[in-house]
Amino acid sequence: MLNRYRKELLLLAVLVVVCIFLTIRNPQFLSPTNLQNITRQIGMYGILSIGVAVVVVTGGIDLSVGSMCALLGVLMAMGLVEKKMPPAVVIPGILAIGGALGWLHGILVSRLKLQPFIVTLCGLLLYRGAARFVASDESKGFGDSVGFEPLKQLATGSVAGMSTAFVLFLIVTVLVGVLLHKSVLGRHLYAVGKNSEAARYAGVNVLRVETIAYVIAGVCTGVAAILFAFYTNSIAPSSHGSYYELYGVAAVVLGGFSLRGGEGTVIGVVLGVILLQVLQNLVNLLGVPSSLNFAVMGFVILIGALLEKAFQKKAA
Amino acid sequence: MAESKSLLSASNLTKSYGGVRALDTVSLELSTGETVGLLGANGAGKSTLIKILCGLVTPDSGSIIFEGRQVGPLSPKVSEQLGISVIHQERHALENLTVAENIYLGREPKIGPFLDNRSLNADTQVVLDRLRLDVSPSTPVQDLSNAQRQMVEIARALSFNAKLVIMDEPTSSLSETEAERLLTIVDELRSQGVTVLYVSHRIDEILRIATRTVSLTDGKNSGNLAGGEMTRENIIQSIIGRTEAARRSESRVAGEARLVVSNVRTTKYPDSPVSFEVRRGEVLGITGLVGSGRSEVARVIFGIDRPVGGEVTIDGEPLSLGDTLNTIKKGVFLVPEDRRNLGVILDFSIERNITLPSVKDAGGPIVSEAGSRSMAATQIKNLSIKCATMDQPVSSLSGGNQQKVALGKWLAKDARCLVLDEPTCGVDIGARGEIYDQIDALAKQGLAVLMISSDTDEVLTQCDRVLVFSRGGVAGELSRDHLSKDAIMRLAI
Repeated sequence: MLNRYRKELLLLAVLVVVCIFLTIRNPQFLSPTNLQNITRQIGMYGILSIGVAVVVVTGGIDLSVGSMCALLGVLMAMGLVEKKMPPAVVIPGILAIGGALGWLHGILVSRLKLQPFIVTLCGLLLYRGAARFVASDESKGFGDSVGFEPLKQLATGSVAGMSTAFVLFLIVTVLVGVLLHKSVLGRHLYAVGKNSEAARYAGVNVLRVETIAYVIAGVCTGVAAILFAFYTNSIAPSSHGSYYELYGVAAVVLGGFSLRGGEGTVIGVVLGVILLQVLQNLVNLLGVPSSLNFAVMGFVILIGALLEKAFQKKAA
Repeated sequence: MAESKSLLSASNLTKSYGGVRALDTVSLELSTGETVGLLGANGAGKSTLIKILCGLVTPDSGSIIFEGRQVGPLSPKVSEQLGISVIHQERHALENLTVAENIYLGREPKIGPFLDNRSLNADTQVVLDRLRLDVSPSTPVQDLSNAQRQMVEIARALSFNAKLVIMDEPTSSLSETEAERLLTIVDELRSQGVTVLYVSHRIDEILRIATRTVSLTDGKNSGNLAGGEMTRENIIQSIIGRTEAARRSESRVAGEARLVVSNVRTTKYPDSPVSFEVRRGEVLGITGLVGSGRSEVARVIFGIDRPVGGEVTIDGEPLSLGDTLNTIKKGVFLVPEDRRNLGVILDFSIERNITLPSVKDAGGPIVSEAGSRSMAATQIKNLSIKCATMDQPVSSLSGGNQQKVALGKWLAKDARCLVLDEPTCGVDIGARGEIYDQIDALAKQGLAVLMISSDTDEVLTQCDRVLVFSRGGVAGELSRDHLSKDAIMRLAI
């Protein structure tokens, strides 16, 4: 059992050490305001990362989620504010568009055998362009317009002392956790990731399983896009969501997933996401120049990969 | 003519893999400038012998004398330096490089740090001229035909000043005219004093080019032939083992036809339609030489490959060919030959592997952990899979137990027909017996079992009826009463 969750335990240990260090250096870390803030970030990035994780399990990757956040955010703001469409139409619509784009990625990868990196890189470029075009390269948002308070609560509010985004993240985590670790589809996802040919010889519908993974990533991106849009309140189509795909991939890799597929647990991604956000927080709280933000992230992921290799050798 | 000089003298070579003796005190004598045919059925030890000579495998015992000197342990490098080159069955030419770049790969002539293209091409031209090959050194290999690529490999061997060129089934993927061209090259090599060890199943080719033949059977020398003794008949006699394995004593009762294959033409052999049927309760064997089109037919039945034409039915219902999911739904299963890459998922646990095809049968979207574990436990017990827990990865099991997992995943489902491709390849004797018992039990339950095997003993002992494949088609059918190694070999060649 210990061996099975070796990666996750290692990650948890690192997380605890970082948190203790951070608390000692700046007790502000544990202040309610900071915790509210950090859990909100964890919630939003977490939902995004979990979608990416499902794709990575199959041996794929999704680089399009950042641009998709921008496109979906712009569309949502325009639908709600400019077209005055009812939220009950727009919100499901945004999720449906996310799922449909994911389905398209899935079809291109599974049926047309294009490489996931290429397909979703094209998505990254296409959706960014589309977002800027439909918004005429202007920021779209809610400004002071009234009537969206309940929706805004999703991103900025809190439930029972926890930020709503974090609660949503927990729900998504449980759902995807059940999917990956308890369901038939989950077993097929891992089988396809480990060895898609052998899975095919065992009667797994490889094409369908792969496609579903991208659809899940698309829907998760849709949920995250809604939260990010209300959180920032104003969506600049040229920069909103930039690098989010890298946050997603970073969290997944840090969480013990192999980019070759077939490995990783939901607990792993959750820990990965939390660690990344705590590191962001560390940069702020310790007065590290914020220009070093990404460098700290890169450094920690590298250390994590090295530690993992070292432990792997020891175990073997 | 001068007395021919001994080039290589290998004696008492023995090599075992696990409990299986692949080579047993085998000797081989080669003189300078002769072409020797090496013959033997599948698994007779030819490949092991070749691997020892090119340094890929170290023999357990025995000695090798090359040009009068005792050579120590061979490595690929040492072997190459001695002047031994092997032209492998599957060619290793890098397609994106030119002929010259391939021939001098890793030892390119240089001027300072830069590639000296001029002398590269000039040196290559010299080698190509020796072989009278009409190919430009600067042609990319991807533009060459199969035969030309093979000749580039031979040219590469010559560029090392090879004294002994070993050719392993060089014509198996060549057309007839291409093969003829290759044989001319072999003659050319001989006239230049290069010794050739020519390994082939094709007796006609051996008769055409070899000066002598050396035969192996079950890892032992089984006869050397030269001059007038070299006849088709004598060669066949020399590669058929003398021992006949004990038959399964009781015979099974076959019922009506279950799996019917009609005029199936595979993409590899589009001109050879294959038809046969497998009856309820019988084990039909398919044997033949490697590459005779057996696995291709199995893949068509299972829906992995789409055939050029033809039809397959199970209990009268047509299978939708090219659709594995549909085939599985109809109860037709395949245990593929490539166990490690296709038969099981090595990194997955025993439990996950066994239940992979059947987890979805329970209906619900959520896996019943208890149901899944008890299903795996049943098969582990049924097949006596030796393991510590069902959660250990299949990669940690022996070959035989891995094969039981590959088989067990289908036994957890309702089978009508089971296709087994080389079911006991690399499986130890104990596990082999257990797999045979299982196959017998399945046949008695009324399944139609199709067993593809290169192991003649296995076919003789386990099958009720045998089809012998040759060059993509059914060369003949042998009933239980007419089964013998001799009969199989005559049809196969």
